[in-house]
Amino acid sequence: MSKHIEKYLDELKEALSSLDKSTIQDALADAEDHLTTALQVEAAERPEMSTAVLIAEIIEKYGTPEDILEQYSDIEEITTPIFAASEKSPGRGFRAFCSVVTEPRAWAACLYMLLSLVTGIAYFTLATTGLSVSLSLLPLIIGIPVTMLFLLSVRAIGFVEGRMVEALLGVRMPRRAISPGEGLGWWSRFKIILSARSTWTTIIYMLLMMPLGVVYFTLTVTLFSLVLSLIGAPVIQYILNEPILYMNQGVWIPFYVMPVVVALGAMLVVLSLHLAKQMGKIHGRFAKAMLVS
Amino acid sequence: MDSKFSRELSSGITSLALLAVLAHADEPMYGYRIAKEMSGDNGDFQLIKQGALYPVLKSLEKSELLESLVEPSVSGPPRRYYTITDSGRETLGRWRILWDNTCILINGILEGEIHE
Repeated sequence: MSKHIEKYLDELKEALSSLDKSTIQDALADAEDHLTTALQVEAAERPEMSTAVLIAEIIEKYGTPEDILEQYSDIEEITTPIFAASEKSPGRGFRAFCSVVTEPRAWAACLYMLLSLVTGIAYFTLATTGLSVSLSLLPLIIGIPVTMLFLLSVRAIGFVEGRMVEALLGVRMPRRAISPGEGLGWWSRFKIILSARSTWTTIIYMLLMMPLGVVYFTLTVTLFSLVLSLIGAPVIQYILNEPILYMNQGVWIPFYVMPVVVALGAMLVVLSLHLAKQMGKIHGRFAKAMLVS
Repeated sequence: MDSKFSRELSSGITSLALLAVLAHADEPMYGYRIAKEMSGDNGDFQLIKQGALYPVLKSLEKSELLESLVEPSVSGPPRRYYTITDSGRETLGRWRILWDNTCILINGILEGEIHE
């Protein structure tokens, strides 16, 4: 990449520093794409001009870092993540507390926690296999392309996981898949990717997702089966007229306790959804710290 | 003050112009070509900075007025090619009418015809 473009990107990064991390990453990706393509096209059309003149012209048309800051802060205001918008200001009282049941974000967090068992196992398997195969093959020539492939797949997974986190947990994550050092030779790309902090934090994230996924999944399944049995048991006992609770022998839930049990179940739904929402928030913050450079 | 006015003026027009450029294009276009197309033949005048196009392209794509496809280029980084969708063409038609009416109204006001 040309020195001038790199200098502009540094200035842009500096100017955008007040924005969200993911927005900065997107804006930088857009600028890099535009400037390199523009330079390539213009240099082919007007070979007599020097690169420095062409770059100055291209950057002038693209806008100063301050222009870009204004544009991206405007656009971010209208394209917030789906569920971030649905978050109402927390009212007071019991009704406001229960209204979590109608919040898409809380349910989406439950869905994320259920899925995280599958994704967690997949990430963990890929990370451990990739790491061990790459490391053991490194002494041989073939080790380097294998390592490169592994690191590229890590970056791709980091992006996909980010999209999932934004869709389900409502945390703003990068919307452009960027591949550092694109257009450079593969050896320099290899070095850039290898030395990028986010490559390694993504691998750590992938490893941690397995234990986290197990915890999230277990917690969600346990809480929701408890809810289902609390609400369902009295109803089914009433309909079938048979005890469905067994402790050595069938136990009848007394008639007057039934409403209490059902109410307990309903309360537990509300509590579980609050828990899911909070855990989703924390996980989103964690994902952002690990996946966004 | 000038730059604030021109930014506010351009914020809606950008989407309209982007849709129009892509509606007239015979083939998918990538960002820089669209940007060049938008600057027209009038060399010095530039209503919108090219850097402002990308967030708008992205948001038009999100509203499904545009679609895009990434393709490797012969030299340099892969490029994202944009095409207009059917719903993009419909929207353009409606916005066109809105724009024409706005122009007639504003030009009328500017020339003071309304009060006469």
